Amino acid sequence: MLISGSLGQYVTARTLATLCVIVGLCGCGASTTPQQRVADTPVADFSGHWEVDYARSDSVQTQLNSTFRDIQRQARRQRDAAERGVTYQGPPLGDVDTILALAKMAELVTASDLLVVHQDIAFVRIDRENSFALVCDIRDGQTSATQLGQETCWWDGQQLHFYIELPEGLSIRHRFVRSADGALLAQRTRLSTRGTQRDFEVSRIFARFEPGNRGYQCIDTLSRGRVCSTERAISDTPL
Amino acid sequence: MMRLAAIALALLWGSGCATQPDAGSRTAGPQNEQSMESPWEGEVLRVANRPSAPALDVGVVLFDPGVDAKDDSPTAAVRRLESKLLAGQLRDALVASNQWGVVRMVPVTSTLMPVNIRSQIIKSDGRDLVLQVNAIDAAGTVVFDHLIGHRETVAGEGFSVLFNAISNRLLQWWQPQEARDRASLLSLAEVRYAQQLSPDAFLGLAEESDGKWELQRLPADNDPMMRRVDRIRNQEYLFCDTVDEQYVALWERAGGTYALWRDAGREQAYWLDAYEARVRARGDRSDDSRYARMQAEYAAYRSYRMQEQAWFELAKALDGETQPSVIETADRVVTLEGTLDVQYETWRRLLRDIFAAEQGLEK
Repeated sequence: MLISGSLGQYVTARTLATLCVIVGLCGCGASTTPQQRVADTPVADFSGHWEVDYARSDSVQTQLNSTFRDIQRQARRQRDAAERGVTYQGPPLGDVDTILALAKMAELVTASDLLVVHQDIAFVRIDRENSFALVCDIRDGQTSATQLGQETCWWDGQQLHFYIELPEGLSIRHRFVRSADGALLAQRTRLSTRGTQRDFEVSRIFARFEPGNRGYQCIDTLSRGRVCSTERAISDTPL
Repeated sequence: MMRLAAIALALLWGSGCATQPDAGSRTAGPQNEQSMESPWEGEVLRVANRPSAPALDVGVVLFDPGVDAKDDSPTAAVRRLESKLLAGQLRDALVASNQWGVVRMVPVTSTLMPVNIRSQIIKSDGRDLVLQVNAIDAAGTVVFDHLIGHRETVAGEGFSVLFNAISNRLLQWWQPQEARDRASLLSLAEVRYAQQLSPDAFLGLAEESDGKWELQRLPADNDPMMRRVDRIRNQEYLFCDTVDEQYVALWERAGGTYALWRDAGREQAYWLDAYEARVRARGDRSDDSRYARMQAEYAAYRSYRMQEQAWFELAKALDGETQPSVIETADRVVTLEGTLDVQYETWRRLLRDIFAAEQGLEK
């Protein structure tokens, strides 16, 4: 047991390490206006059922606290620079109202705890609980534009990108990356808005699960919405 | 495409949608100009006790779906389905008017019928249906050419008003015609059909100049070749009956899902209108907090996408219910396969071959 436990911890640690490296890399490459780059490399298999792993995911509040600490540090540096009579060279502080709004939006946009990914050679469809599905033609990317917003997606060889731009300037960028062993899926979401330099980013880690092995089953009904019930034990099955 | 449709709709409602053929004229010309005088809305089907003699047989060409043939998206599949279902509804309206002889659905414009009604779907989203419709007779005269549209405001209201209008416009052209002109057109149609089977055998009976056909002379009443033509024509009618049967089967299979698709599309279109009205009413929303503005904008986008995806799922379901089927004719030897257009062309080629073979035997 001890051996298998250690192995399990090792595998989890390795998975996390891989994921962190990849997520870290994508963090570095992030920019407010993404450059669409369709890669020739085959798309990783994202298909399956995924549930959020809260322990590994960012909390919006923690991210917000971190952002504010960063702003405080910058404000201090700005004040010190002013007292010394030199020009402050750092990034702009950003509008606190906007950062708060983006943080609250991040909470809303990443609210789905369950993802179901359907994938074939041409399409990826990420069904998100209580939200619209993210759909991508992975052969050559895809742009769909409506009066209410524009959506672009592409596979860059490592990550699956979805970029949503709304008319009044809010943009949402989701990037999905899968761990090497296929057990974890990272969703990195960056929100930005026109007129502010500071984006807000939050990561959610999803773990793969097999539906139907959890002792309960849920179905969507017209009259009562989502209804969950415990699964019938084998001994309950009528003869 | 959306922009095109929007332009078409604007044009349509802005103009009152209708052109009124000159009831007094015996050969109507193409009429693309829009008139404010007789809107289509509220058009009641003009029903007769019996068709006036000689009765005019009408061909309803399956609608041009207005999508690229290579487009395999579910939305395009719905359009293709509609091209048959709407043609069937137009056929039903013409039959219900009791003004015509036999009304048949044909895959393509055919000399089989003295007049063909051709329609293209310009826009169809469950709420708005915009069609470009024209009718052309055996002489090559465009009887009418209209851009017509209707907005469905109540579930189940349907688009019968458009089909009523088409039947009524055809009647406005046909009714004032002299009996002699009517008979002449029907004879011309027969001759043109015969010429299409064997151009050499019926050379000179009808001649074409600048796209217009004119009857030069009639074949003898006891012409045995014309009797064979009649027999072949009856064989072609059999094919049209198969198209009719397909339509009935298609309606039974997919009619319910199609109605759901239309309901969902209409609800989505009205929701979008209501949303835009709310946004306009709010003005610049400068009093709202940043978050309230962002949240409202995202909520609108999310709702729209969710509805759109539900609609798309319905379209996929419809696509699954309308897979092409193989038709077997009464002929035990020949089995026609492929799309209706292809089957029809195969069938007509076969009939031409039969006719040529019979002629050879006769000789």
